[in-house]
Amino acid sequence: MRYLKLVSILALAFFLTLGLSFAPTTAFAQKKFVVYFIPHAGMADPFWATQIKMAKRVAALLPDLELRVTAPETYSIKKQLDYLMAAIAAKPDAIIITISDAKAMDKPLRKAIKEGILVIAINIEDYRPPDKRIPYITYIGMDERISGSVLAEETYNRFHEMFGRYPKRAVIGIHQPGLICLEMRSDGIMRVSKKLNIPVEKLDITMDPTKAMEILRAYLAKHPDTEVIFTLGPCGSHPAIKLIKELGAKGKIIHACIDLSPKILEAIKEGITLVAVSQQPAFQAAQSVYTAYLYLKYGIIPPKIIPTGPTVVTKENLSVILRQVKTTGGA
Amino acid sequence: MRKALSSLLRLLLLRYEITCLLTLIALFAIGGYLNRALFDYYTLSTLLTFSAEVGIIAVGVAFLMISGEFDMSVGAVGALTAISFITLINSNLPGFLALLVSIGLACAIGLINGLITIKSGAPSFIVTLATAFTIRGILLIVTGGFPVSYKGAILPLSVRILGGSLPFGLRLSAIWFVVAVAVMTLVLEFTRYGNHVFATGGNPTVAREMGVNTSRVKLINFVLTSFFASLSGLFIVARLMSADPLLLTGAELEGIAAAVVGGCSLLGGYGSIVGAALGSVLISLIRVTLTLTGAPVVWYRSIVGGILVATALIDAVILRKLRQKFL
Repeated sequence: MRYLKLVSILALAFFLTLGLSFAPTTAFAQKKFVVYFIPHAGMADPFWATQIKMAKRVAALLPDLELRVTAPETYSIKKQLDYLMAAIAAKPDAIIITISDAKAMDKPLRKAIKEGILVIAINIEDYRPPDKRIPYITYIGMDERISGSVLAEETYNRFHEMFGRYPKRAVIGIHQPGLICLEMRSDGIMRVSKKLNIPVEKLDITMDPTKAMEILRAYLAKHPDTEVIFTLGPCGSHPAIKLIKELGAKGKIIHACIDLSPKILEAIKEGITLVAVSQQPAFQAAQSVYTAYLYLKYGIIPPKIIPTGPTVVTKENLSVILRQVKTTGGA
Repeated sequence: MRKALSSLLRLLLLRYEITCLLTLIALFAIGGYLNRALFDYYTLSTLLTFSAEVGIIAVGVAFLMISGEFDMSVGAVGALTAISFITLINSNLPGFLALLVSIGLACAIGLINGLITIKSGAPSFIVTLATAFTIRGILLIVTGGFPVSYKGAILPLSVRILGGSLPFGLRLSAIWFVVAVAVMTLVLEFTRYGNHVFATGGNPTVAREMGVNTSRVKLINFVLTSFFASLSGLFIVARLMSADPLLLTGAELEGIAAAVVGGCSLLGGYGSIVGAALGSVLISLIRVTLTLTGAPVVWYRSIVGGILVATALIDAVILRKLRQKFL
């Protein structure tokens, strides 16, 4: 009984202290710009762990900015929206958020903008027609309208340098047909291919790596003149890289992709992946916090889009990207 | 005056919900001190919205816990209802029919949970956990892991009636939540069925000998739990117009936490629906307060755990002494 009493008093004291320890940042602190960073996934996701760490690093350099990171541990639109609603209630100066579901976020974000809260979209923009789009001040991330075409142009130009001609055929492995950002990437590749008269097909390779390998293998057997495999994310890239290795087709079939992972970086080093395009997550996070600060402190209005990609990654600049991965956790 | 106060104190000490209520008041006070925005009407209506979505699940979970069983599939059932409803209305099925089918599907799962638990004698915790994994797996396969969104601009009336917007940021889900709490409290505390629920959870052997059909009580409660879980899924559809296959992950544990904090015993036979409702408000308040004060939201789970321990300790130490003194 004595121990129970002691433990209960200690527990009560602990929670009171915990609560009061935040008082200086709210009740009594000097006025700071309060910025909420609300992605759709948190520290449990390596991509977002990189972004959150970078956002905090930049915020630490700005003494009159208080960054509050609120994110679900893993991908959850509902929880992200709950945090958004709670953040709006706090009446911050700015909200940096991924538009993971434009329809669901439309009403709360318009309310926030109406109340004078600066809203910056990051990583995922509102893809709806311009008249329906949420009027955030800027989108910071990869411009998906050009990511595919940049990848295709870079790949075909390098192919031409290596072989003195363009490829006879290319294939695009899409791991989630219908997903708007992947479709936009694919459209960009098809546009450039059509311009250069390179036959190209879009293939649903699914998210299952074994199925993806078999579907690509079957395609290559049917079209042995295929010389380039494009993939639109690590889900498709890993099976494609494995297949090229298995077939011993390095140098005969070129791989090019969007988004990076350690396996893809290794494949670039080995010469299997010729070109990759990155959206540089650390850049997104850093730029979003700094853009908010510039606007709030100096009234600097950002352009409608601040692209952090497509950034081309090849063997030549691999060492720079590896430095980014080492210092920020991702690329 | 002193006699009246003493009577009031005795009345309060008899209630299961008292500890939760005290904790809620304390957290409101601390949160309000740290950020006055907690008392804004928008914050309070946001809090009610969150509480309704967790709380409606807690109502069913508490009812089932009092009868001595658990349901770990409520989150998965809520997600299944949300996704099936959106899929059906996207296929141009009339809204009310889609609603009936989705809720019917949820209740069917509750029935399956109950039948397997009762007929096999396996612990409901394990049976419903298996159901949860199965449902989540199916949802992931069917959706490919991606959210399902309603294709139209305005949702059908059938779901807007459940969770549509009201003035001042309120939602209809909050009203349905209050209605559910009131109805289930009446059933539990003022009807013969409610007595049977307590008896089934308190001592099933004695209850059976007294003529209570404990199997039927549990079966009905499993179906009710899934019904309330389906309402949570529909409340969320009304707000988000979309659902992902991992929707309401963790809701089962939040429901149990809300029920326990509100005074329900994990062993059955003891508890209150009002307490579970207050518990869900408390859990939602933690999340809102963390966000408002800028505290790291990664502490949310730890704080909920801490509150659970603190509530149990306050009940075990302080209130037990008061009950011994005044009752």
